[in-house]
Amino acid sequence: MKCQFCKEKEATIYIQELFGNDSININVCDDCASKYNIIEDYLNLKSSDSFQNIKLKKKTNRIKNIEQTECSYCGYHITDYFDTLSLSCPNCYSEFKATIKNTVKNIHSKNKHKNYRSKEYIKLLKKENKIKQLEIKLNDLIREEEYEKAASVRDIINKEKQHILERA
Amino acid sequence: MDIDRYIIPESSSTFAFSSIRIYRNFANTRFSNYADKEELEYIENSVNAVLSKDNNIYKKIKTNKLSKNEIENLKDNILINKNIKDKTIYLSDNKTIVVNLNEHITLQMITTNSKKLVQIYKEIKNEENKLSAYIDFAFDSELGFLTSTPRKVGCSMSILVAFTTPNILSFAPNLIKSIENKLKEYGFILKLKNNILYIRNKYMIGLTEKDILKRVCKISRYIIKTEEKIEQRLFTNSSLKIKLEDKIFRSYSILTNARLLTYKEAIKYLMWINVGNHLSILKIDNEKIYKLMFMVKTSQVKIHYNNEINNKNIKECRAKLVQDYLAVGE
Repeated sequence: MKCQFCKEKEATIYIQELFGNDSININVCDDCASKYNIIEDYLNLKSSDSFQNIKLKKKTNRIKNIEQTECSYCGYHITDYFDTLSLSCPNCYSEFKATIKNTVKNIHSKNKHKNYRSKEYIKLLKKENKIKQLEIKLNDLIREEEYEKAASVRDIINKEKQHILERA
Repeated sequence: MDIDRYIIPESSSTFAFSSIRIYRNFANTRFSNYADKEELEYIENSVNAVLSKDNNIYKKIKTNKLSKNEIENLKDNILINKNIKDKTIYLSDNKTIVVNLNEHITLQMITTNSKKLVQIYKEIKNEENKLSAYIDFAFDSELGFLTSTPRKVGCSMSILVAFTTPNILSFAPNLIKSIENKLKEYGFILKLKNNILYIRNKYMIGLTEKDILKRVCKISRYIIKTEEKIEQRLFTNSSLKIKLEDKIFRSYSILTNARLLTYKEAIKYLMWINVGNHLSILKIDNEKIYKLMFMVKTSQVKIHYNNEINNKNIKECRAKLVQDYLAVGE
């Protein structure tokens, strides 16, 4: 379909205005639409905007209230998430948490995980806590000048750290 | 243990198979769809290092070294429909580990025995524990295990159960809609494909893994009970019994005499033979029927005929395969 204004180029924008049972149809190319400010008249937008920009405006309105729009680890942008509904790295979950929690609630009807970790991970957490407590004890023993006891505590700490290193 | 009470009743004619899948990702590494070559190699090497400590019980397969037909055969055996080109797969008995599919690690186990669902759950958790001893999985205290899409966060465990329900499909097809609505309440999705009913859990967060198992067992019991109820009602009613017997014998005749068979038809008629066995109307070995349900897949027919057939005469070959297999031992 040719543009109604220049009658040379192919129309890319189609506008239909309805008045009760009657309607007015306008078929216009990009150049004529910007030249005669047609879209601005009908949709109250700036003359440089086209229908593609309307989609972008919807997106920008959506992300206006979101504080974090880019993942600091991988650079994934939140608009990519809106397009694909997939994420690039585990860090994206913490960067876009508020948005993703809404999506998760819509899909799963809940968005709080019922705590479960594997036995091995729980063992590891217990070891790390044990090391922290032993380090506090070590500092206390050094302050009290009980160096022999401090040495044995230091040996225990090194052994536990080696277990964790083996895991890595 | 509490979950040992969760069982699906034994039902030779309704329960087809079940699979449990667990998705895990490495912490601080991009997900497989966005990772670069180095990251993908690092993940593969790490998983290889962990699994090789296990006295080599896993067989490692690199799909880029397989032919097209071998890949199709592998996909049928491990029930993965996605593109597995250029992937590394570890196989052991009925355990499968796929590296870098959509997630870094996809663990899967399949069973054809309805009573073994809890057993395979325990086995798959053991494997996960072994991996987590050496690998830091991506985890968030609020969202659980993290995956490439929010659809799989939480427990990141998916259970699929397949049923053959010829009585519901033929005599009460309107029930499918009400079953689907009931499943939605429990957070399950129902899919009907090639006359087989599949159910899979949609909710993976806000529930523990035991909760999901419990719901699967409850739903399975409901579907099996509905199918058997309809079957009994037809069998005990003298005017309706003839319709049921007609379906069974008609299916047997078509399978033993047809010259062309599509996959969908083959499954449909084999399901009726299964019902016939269950009601002692027919006496065909159950294992034969189950094996045939697998062998009528397109890739399996091609393997049976040593890949000497093409897509034009696949239906003819399928029909011949079924007749030959049913005729053996008669």
